[in-house]
Amino acid sequence: MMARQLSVRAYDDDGTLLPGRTQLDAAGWRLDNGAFGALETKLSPHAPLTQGQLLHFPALARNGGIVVGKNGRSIGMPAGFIVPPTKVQVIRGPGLPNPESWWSNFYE
Amino acid sequence: MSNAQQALVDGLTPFLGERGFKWNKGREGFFRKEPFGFLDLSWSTHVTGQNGGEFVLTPLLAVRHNEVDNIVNELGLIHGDSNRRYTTTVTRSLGFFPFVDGRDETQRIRIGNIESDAKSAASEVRSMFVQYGAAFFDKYSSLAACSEGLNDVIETKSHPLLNNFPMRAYYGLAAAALCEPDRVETLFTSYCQFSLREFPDQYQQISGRLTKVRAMAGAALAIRARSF
Repeated sequence: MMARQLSVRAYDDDGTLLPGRTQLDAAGWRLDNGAFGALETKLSPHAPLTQGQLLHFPALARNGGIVVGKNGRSIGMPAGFIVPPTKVQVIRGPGLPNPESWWSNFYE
Repeated sequence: MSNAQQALVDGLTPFLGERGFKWNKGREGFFRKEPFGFLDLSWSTHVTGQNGGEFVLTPLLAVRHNEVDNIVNELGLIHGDSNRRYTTTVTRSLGFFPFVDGRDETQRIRIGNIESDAKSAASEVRSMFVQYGAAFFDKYSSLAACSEGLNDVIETKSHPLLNNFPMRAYYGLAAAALCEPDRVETLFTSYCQFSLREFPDQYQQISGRLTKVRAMAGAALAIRARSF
């Protein structure tokens, strides 16, 4: 089960939260091994990451971060929930699967 | 907050206000304070490009029992005091777990039709509240009901009252320790065994946290007993 448009802030290498936030298109707990997973979708093969994504994604992979806002509550991740270090998987179009299938295509 | 959400809030405020709920702007939810904690009606939101652009809002009902949340939050899984004050003991998202199988409680507000869609969404949420939401809040205002619910079933990863394992195990164990202490050892063993089987890589961490929860809840219970 995934949360849509989950906002997160990553920790920097000193353990301080980076400024701003970024949104994960889909995120959730993998049923196979319990690990946290995250997906970002881009409509075209060459669509660039946003400034926020360029800042937060690498730091999230190294240091983890926290959930911001309420979109994680459906999967037991309230605001402030500490996210383990997670590499965001970027999937690119054209020909993306239906959003409801993103998660199952990759993780379930 | 988006115009769509504001319109929905406006549509719900009189109805929920009569029932003691107040809109909390910072947390974007309707809250009602209770002696044991609070009740919370809010929703998750995402935007899609369908129908010319629309907001998809999924209602969520939650109850906090301070005693339980204060114990689980000692595990350090939530960043910041302000966030820890708003964690909840049971949390039911009606997107994954509607009260009636197959009934879609998700509300959609089209960007080009905010006023009428928000009015309709507010009506649907009010109806859900009357039919099921009020009973949910009544039931889980009881800590014993939370304990029973969170620990039923033990061996599942998704759950309608807290859709996250191992968080549910921590909450279930803490709730049981405070109101059904006879069950604690059995629950502790069962949750440890389940995590060992399903998430062996995380077993040490999970069992260590369950041990802490058991100890903290036991201490809280002892303090409570002395105060009577």
